[in-house]
Amino acid sequence: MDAAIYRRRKRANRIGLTLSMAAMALGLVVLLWILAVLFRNGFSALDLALFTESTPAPGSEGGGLANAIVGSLLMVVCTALVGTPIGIFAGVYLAEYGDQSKTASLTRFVTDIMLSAPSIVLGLFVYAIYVAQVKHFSGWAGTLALSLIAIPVVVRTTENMLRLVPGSLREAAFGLGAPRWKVATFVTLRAARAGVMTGLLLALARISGETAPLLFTALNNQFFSTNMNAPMANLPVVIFQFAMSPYDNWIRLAWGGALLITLTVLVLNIIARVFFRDQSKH
Amino acid sequence: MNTPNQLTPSGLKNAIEIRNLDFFYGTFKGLKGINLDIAEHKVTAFIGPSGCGKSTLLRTLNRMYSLYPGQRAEGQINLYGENILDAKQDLNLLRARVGMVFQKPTPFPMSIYDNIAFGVKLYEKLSRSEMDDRVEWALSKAAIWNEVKDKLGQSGLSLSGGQQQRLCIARTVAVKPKVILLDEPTSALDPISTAKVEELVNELKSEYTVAIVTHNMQQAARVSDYTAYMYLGELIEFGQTDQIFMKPARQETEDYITGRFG
Amino acid sequence: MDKHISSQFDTELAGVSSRVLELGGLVESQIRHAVYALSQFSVEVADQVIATEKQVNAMEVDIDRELSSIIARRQPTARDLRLLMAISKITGNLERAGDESERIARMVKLIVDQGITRSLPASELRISADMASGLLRKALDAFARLDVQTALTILKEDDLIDAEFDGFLRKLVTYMMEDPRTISASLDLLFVAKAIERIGDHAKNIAEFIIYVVKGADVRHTAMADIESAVK
Repeated sequence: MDAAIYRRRKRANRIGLTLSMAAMALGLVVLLWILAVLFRNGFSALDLALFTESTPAPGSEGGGLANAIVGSLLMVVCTALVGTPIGIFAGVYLAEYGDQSKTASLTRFVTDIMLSAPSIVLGLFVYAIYVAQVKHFSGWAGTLALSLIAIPVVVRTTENMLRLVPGSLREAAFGLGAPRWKVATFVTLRAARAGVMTGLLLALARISGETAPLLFTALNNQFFSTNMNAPMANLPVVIFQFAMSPYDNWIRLAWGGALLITLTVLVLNIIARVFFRDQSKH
Repeated sequence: MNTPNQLTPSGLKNAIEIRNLDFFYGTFKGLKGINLDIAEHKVTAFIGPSGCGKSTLLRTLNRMYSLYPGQRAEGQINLYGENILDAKQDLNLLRARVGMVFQKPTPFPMSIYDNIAFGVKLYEKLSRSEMDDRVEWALSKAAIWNEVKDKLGQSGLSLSGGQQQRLCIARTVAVKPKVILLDEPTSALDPISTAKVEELVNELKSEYTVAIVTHNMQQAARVSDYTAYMYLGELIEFGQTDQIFMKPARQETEDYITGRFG
Repeated sequence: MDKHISSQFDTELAGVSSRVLELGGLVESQIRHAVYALSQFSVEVADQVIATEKQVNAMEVDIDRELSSIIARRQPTARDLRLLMAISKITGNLERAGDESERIARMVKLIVDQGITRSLPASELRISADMASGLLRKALDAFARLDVQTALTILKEDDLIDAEFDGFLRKLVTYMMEDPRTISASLDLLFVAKAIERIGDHAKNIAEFIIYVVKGADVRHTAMADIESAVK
């Protein structure tokens, strides 16, 4: 054994390890810093009033983010209801049916573009084709814009997860004489369900923090409302509005909202990862 | 091509008759002019070195290749008189009559009960108790009933490798096919599981016709009644297993089975 | 013969084959010594023959053990299997041929003890004994080369030895009828003649196994005409 080569290799190993750990530490530090700042500034806003009272008038004290929270929740749930079936069906089509066809290639191409499209562009698009036509902002418009963001994510993850299912499992189902749609739904999709769920959760986590598209579609609402046909209050836009204002109360609430969104996204991600980890155990 | 002993002796009914079968992967010819009979209620084994076409041949028998564009077969494969290569052949019905067990155990991501019921439900309408009976029957036939009867609700993936493979066999048997195709069914199993599966094959042949591809020659010798030796897409020799392993007619066959290959 | 992929297997087969030929050589020399002892009525040489018997038996046991080991580990098929089966049987045949030589040697000693070495047609026995031992050598040689044509000739030549035995038997009967005092000695010689005839039979068996290995046809207990057509 050549000792010099061995020593050199050990040294290179140590350098690589150090650099990696430094990078990880940097990432962790930044994350923890963000969380720390959020907590420091927003924790004081976390009280029952945050969830029960609507946004206060400029300059006044008290109030909460109830309308924004409910509004965001409504739009996210509607997006989930709309986006899930479309996204999953498209994903199943791409993975199980249209492997070579031109339609499939086109779909994938469009999905890829939309995945990387700036969300503000999508928001403006919905504004142009819908909001400007009906001449009012609404929760539905907001849902539409959020769907345009969420669906490509669901399509992409669903297709990828389905592709990970080994071909032998499909062949086993076909071998019993099962028609393609049954193989796709009862066997393949079921085998990939954890991964698909993860994709869904991640898509929802993404859209819960999107601000730009909502600016042009749902706008905002000072009051508590569950009318999807009218402008809808939502957390991101509220934070946007309050954070830049001169009112201390509003700024306090903005921090509270930011903390809330961050915690939600964090929790969704953690759930997704824990859920996914169970699947790959076998 | 002169293939001695290629047809089974008269007196035995044939489940499958293959005539002048050619197979193409795109432009590559994977099978060349195969002529072969598979006798009913007997075990026919296919042996040969890697790439000789034995798996390809097996997968033509249930038209599994039709799932993949670019793969096509020409010639005739008569399953009890019906040519399954006909364009009008209903593939799903065919596969319900010709079942397949694969090299890697592939239990569905469902309970053990549902694994068996899935295939049966495709073509038969059974009441709950009838389905219960069928599930028990299939699992017993696969010699795994006693091991799983108390945990039918558990996921099929919770079983060991050997048990999973027997589950797959039970699943195939449950739909009562005419022919069972086994593609290297014990390659991924330990010796004891292998022995159990081989024992199973021996029992299955009284009710089903079995075709098995194996790269373990001793397994072919133990388990089959007829053996076909293939090389580079051609059928070199076909005959009774005793004959092939004691006194093969072709030098190529003898070279392969005695390990003088290459 | 072509080589196996496993050169170890080739070595094992070659090893056990040469052991058999070694045993054959030993038995062959045992027969020659027995014949010499017979012609010279030499008790010394007869004792040598009897002593060799132990070695022959030990070799038989050894070879069988090696065969079992190869079969257990290699699961031989077709030609290899037939070769190993043949070696097992040939070893048995050689060991029994050795037994026959020992019997001849013991007979010689008995005859010398009884002091009846006077005029007996022992010299005739010499000729058929040479024929038998020559046939055995031919058989071993043919086995080493797996020569089917020679094997066929051996099958035919054994018939000659059998004919010789019949002739000798008739002669002895005449002797015994002419002079009843020679009966006891004649019977002794008859045993020797029978032993020689059996050695020829063992050579014939070896030839049958050569045909089995090469052609895969078991021609034991088969008529000559059928054998010839099986060999074609």
